[in-house]
Amino acid sequence: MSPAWLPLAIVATTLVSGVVIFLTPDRMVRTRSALNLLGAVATLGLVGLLVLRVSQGGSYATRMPFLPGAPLVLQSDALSLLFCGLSAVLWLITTLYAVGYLRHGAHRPRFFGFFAFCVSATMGVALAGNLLTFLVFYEMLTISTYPLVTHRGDAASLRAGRIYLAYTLGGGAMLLLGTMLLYALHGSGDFVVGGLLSQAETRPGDGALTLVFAVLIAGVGVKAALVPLHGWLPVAMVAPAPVSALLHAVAVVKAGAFGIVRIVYDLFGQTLAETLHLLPPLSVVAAATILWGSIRALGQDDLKRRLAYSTVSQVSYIALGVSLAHPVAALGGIIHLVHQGIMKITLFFCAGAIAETTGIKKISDMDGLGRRMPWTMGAFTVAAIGMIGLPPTAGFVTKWYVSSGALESGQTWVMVLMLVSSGFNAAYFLPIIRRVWFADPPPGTLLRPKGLEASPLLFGPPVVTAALTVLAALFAESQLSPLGWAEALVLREFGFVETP
Amino acid sequence: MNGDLLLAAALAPLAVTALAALGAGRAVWPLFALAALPAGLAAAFPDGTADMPAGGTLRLDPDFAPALAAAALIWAAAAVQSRDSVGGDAGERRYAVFFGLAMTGNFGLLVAGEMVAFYVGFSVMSLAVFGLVAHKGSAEARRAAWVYIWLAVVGELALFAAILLIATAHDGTSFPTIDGTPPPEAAAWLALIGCGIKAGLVPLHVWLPLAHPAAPAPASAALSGAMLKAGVVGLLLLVPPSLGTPAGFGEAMVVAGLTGTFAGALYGTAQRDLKTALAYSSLSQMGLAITALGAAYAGLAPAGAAAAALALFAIHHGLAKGALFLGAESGLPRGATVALMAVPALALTGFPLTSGYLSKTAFTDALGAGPLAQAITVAGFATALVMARSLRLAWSKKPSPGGWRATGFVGLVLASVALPAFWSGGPEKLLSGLAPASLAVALAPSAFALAAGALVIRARLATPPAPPGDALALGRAAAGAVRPALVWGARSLGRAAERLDALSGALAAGAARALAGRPAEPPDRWVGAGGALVATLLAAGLAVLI
Amino acid sequence: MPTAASPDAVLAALVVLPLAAALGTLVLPRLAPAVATAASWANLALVAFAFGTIGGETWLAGWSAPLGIGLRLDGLAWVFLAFSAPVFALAASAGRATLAEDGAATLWTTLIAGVNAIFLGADLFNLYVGLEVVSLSAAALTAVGAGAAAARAALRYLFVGLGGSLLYLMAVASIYRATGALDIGLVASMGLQGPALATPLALATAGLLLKGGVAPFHFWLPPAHGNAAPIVSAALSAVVVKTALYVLLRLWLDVAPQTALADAAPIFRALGLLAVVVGGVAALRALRLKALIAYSTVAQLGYMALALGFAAEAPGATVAFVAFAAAHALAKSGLFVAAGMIAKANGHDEVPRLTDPGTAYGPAKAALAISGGALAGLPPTGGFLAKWTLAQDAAAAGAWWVAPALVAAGLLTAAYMARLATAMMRDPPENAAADEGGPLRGWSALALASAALLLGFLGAPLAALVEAEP
Repeated sequence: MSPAWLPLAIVATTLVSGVVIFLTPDRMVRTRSALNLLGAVATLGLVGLLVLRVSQGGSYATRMPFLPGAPLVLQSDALSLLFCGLSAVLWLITTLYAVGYLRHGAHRPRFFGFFAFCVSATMGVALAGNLLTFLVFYEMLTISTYPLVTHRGDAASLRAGRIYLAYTLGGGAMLLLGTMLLYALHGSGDFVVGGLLSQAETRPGDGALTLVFAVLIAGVGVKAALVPLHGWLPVAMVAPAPVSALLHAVAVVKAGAFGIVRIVYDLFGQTLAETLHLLPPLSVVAAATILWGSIRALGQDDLKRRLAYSTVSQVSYIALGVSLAHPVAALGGIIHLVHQGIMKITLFFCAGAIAETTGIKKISDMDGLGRRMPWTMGAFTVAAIGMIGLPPTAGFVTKWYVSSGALESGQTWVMVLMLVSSGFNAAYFLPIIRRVWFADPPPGTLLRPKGLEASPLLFGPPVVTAALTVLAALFAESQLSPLGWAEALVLREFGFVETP
Repeated sequence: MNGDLLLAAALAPLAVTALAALGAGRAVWPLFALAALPAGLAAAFPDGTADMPAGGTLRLDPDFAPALAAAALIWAAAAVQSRDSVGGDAGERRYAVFFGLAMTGNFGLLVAGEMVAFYVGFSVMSLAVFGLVAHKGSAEARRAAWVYIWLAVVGELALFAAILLIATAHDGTSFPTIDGTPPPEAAAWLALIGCGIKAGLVPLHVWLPLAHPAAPAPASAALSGAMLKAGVVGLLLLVPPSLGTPAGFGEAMVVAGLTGTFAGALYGTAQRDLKTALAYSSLSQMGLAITALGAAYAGLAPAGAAAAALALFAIHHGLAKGALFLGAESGLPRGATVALMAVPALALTGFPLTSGYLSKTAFTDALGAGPLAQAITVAGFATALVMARSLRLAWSKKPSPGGWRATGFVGLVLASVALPAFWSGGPEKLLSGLAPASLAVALAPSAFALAAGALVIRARLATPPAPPGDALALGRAAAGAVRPALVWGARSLGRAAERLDALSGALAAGAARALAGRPAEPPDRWVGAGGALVATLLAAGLAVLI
Repeated sequence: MPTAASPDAVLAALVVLPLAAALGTLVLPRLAPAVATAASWANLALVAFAFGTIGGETWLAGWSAPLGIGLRLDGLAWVFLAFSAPVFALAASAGRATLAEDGAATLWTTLIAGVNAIFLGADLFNLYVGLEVVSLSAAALTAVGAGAAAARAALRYLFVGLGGSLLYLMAVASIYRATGALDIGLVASMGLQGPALATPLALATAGLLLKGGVAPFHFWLPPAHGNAAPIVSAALSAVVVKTALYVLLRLWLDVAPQTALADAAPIFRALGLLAVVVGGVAALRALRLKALIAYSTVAQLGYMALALGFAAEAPGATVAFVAFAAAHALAKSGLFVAAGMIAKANGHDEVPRLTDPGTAYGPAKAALAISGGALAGLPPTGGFLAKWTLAQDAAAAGAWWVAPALVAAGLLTAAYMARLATAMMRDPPENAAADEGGPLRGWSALALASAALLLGFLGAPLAALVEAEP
């Protein structure tokens, strides 16, 4: 297979997996799980191959004719591989988790089929080489995640699904409008390193471009949970835990944040964005979201809802980093794509494992849980520490780079914001940790069971991802780490990188 | 070789922590004691460097070697005592994990070669202490842990900001000491907050008297003996006295230090609980260190001499206070306990022929002949009082069941006694201290304490006990007035946020409902449509005609 | 260029074969459904084959203009044939039960003949004949097999259809009086102006809009499409209304001069927007599934009117018009067939109470999803292609409001399609009924929906076909 087809193959593998899973009858559980895992492993292998080739200096783009004058393009640049890699690794882990979680669930072919489509769409978003392709897969992501949100089929899930669709289709409409306008104004929407519009010889008027930017950001901002477009996220928590994990760590939220990065850097470009003063409003919105999410999180007793608002807050670190017009901050923002993904997925895995094994959903019921499920809560603790931004976790690396970049570009308020946000994170995570480890469990609860504390498929994944959280930080300096990869990316965008 | 020792010093406790997490049981305690060995050895051979595999460097500054040595001894002794103090408790495994993490962090920050590594060690240690304070699970422990963690988090954030500011200004993460450039002013103040909280800088000290009694005795020993020093180490690394400091920096420290010294000791004298009294003593002693450091910043003392004095103080106070805390649960009959505790107690007052004498003279030598040096001397009296009180409280304390634990206690006492022999110029200094003039000065505090102590004993502890948490209590009283307002404010903010969030959803839902209405059958219309048709035809006809 | 014989044969066969099949159904009543289905598939084959004869023309029985019946196949006509034929074929396969009703098969094949005659028509009067044939067969089909409501709706449809045809006839008569010719090409070259042009255009437009169900003349459509049997609804929504709009397009593009279309453009744009809003809101309020889908048709026809409103300024708008027509035809027919199956499985078709019919209905549900997406204009379907083309071309002509309008309309469509999606995720209260009528129905629906999806990638060939010189 010629490597130029690699990007397409990655999307196709997941898509085909989905179709095959749909066609597998409900009762053939083992076969379906095997197929699922096969697909996930194959995808991971293909992504790994692509990463290898690209690191050796290749670059791959697949073009497919679509609309007249506007083809579909899948390409492999550093940013797409970062997101792709994250998605592929986490899909594999989440698939294992989901198999364990839904052991007794209904509608499994439908679940796993749409699950695969969702990952396919995410891969497409990651590999998209122009705005149109991005749009196509972005909408596909909306459609394929809807059945996952409403999986349980009860009234609450259906209501959540309606709200989810309302928000995400609205966002999709804005994105579509922005895409239409851009193509009408400029003729193309290719993602080019350094910014398509920055480097164009002729470009549309400033007013028009500002409008397009606002519309596009509003479009991706829904998925990225920018305030006030974030309302769908806490509501979507009724979905099963693997869905929350995937939605909040990998697919939907990251697709939105990824879109912001692409629009600012590869569509508009650093220089143009600064000229048009597009970035300060984005900083303000991101900052507001960071604070808002934290404030709301403090008031939640339901564990998943608290995590949801935490996501709202944390994902905006990415937007904030990108909007500071400084390479180091950009690096921090981009790397948080990966870091927040790993940390948040750990937290959701734990939440799901707790709910499935003990039935506990509220924080106030979590007293003494550390004795019952030490490994799971250990993973939770590690991830929570990461969220607060204490070393030696991935969250600390992000905090360092974003704050550092902010200081170097003279925007000290951002560092203060990061510190305040850390404080908030401590305020809503540390009490949970205290309860879990130091409070006495309610009388009559089962203490350490014999054997493993939870089903192995529920128990393994969070431990693995918690370990990754720490490893990502410890090996941040090395070339192999996500940080090293992101540095290469920022280097090309800005022309230089300074790391303290 | 040195580099490997440094690596081992930081990683050995971590390895044992992992074993503890996996459930090794009471066997971890001897292992923890062994894990302190590399650190001790590294302290004996300072000036090595190592590169960590994941980036970052390790380095042991010769100035901090004594602190590392003290830490190694104290943690080892604490580990031995923990086996009996905590062994068999329901939460032993949890305690062991936090113990090990604190130990790792403590060693780690001392051998850190640059700021980020330092921060990692400091943070790990700070967080782990939370686990030690909250261990007992009682209401007192919960409250102490709550106060502690609030301050710890604030300290963490301040320290982070300080380090970041320095790194940005200096374009690298190496210590200002190595770099040679002074830190930015804001960074210095932030470092003061971050490190000061740990060192017991008034008024950020309020967690200290609450945390020590709440934690098990070995943990308190390690806290007072080793971990508090981390604050001083941090300041020395981040804001080197030999490079410039902001105006008022040193002066503020001196004021705070002196306040802590005297108020702490006096407050400690009025305590009813042994560990609380010892905690206030620690506060008082750390105040001395802070005063000396502040004097160096303010230019009132030469930086080199001050650093040397602080190094000696670190090991002297560490061993002595560590021994005292371990004595609180020594497992020996109370006569033996009190007798053995008297040794480090006397050392702390600066009794002749003790390490305390060395430390005191080092301070006074550094501070010269000014009022500060006299204050140090007077402080000895206050220390003597609180020591007397502590011994009295130790006498009336029920002895704990025996076991190995006494080994740790006794070991530290012996180490405290033996220290002068290992300190360069130690024995000579001690002997010169036997000269009549200095002897009198050195004996005075103890004599005073004895006399006062007799009065105190007679008073039969009639003085009302001062609640630990002093300033905190004041703060609480003040906060008590403000608290309802704050809580109401926080709740309203939360509610308002909730309502705003719901608003956008409600708007959308309302719009959708207005648009959709209630589903109904489509009306069966002929008339309206027919009318439309006719109207259109008429209009078309008109258009044609016109 | 193929030999003179082949275009004759193929084009003629396109009209003659269905008629012959109609006779066949009368002669062999017990085999009627099979004959009708076979004829539908043969029709599809012929259309495919006819691709090679684009640009050809034939005169039946050798009589040439101005008296003879001419059939002309250009790119535009072929595209309309190309999306109608699969609808007939797949719907026929899916609706054997309906075709087995009395007279249904005959009407079906006659309908095909009429539709083909319209698309191939080169002459105004023959277009009238085709329109009449289509009206009559469509109206009658509406009444087949369904209850009293359907009969009432069918009767209304008949009157409306006749009324519309009458208006059209008046227009044709007026043109004949003014020019003496009926052939489209001849009439165009006559250069009509002023009232002589405006009167027939106004009359014909009114009549065709009425037949086509463009708002505000859409009142007959929801009852008719909503009460007929599923495959009939499919044919009605997908093809029959398109015939009227096809004639409208031909009239304004080929007969009238460009200035006339430019003058009338605001009317079409206004009507288009009206239809989109009225249809969309009504669909959102609809109680019954078939009514929802029918109102959706009203809205989608609005898009076509809007596209027509830009055809004068931007050639791409014509492509958009055709794309809307094709995408809607394929998606709507698939939707009707799938909806019919789902309603039958549920036992009712009230949208708020619909539930998931079960795993046996997989293809039908997939068809529902894909069709819904195509109608809402989600990429990468044909609906998206149409909206994109229109938005880009309108913007190029300076009308920037079209893009937001289309996006908003798409959201409105998505809103009521989402009601269906919600229904499909609702668990049924008891065991679902087994799939009646075999798997063929589901797969037919899915095939149609997939064609709508595939259309999204065929933008370039479509444009080439439509914009090529006849």
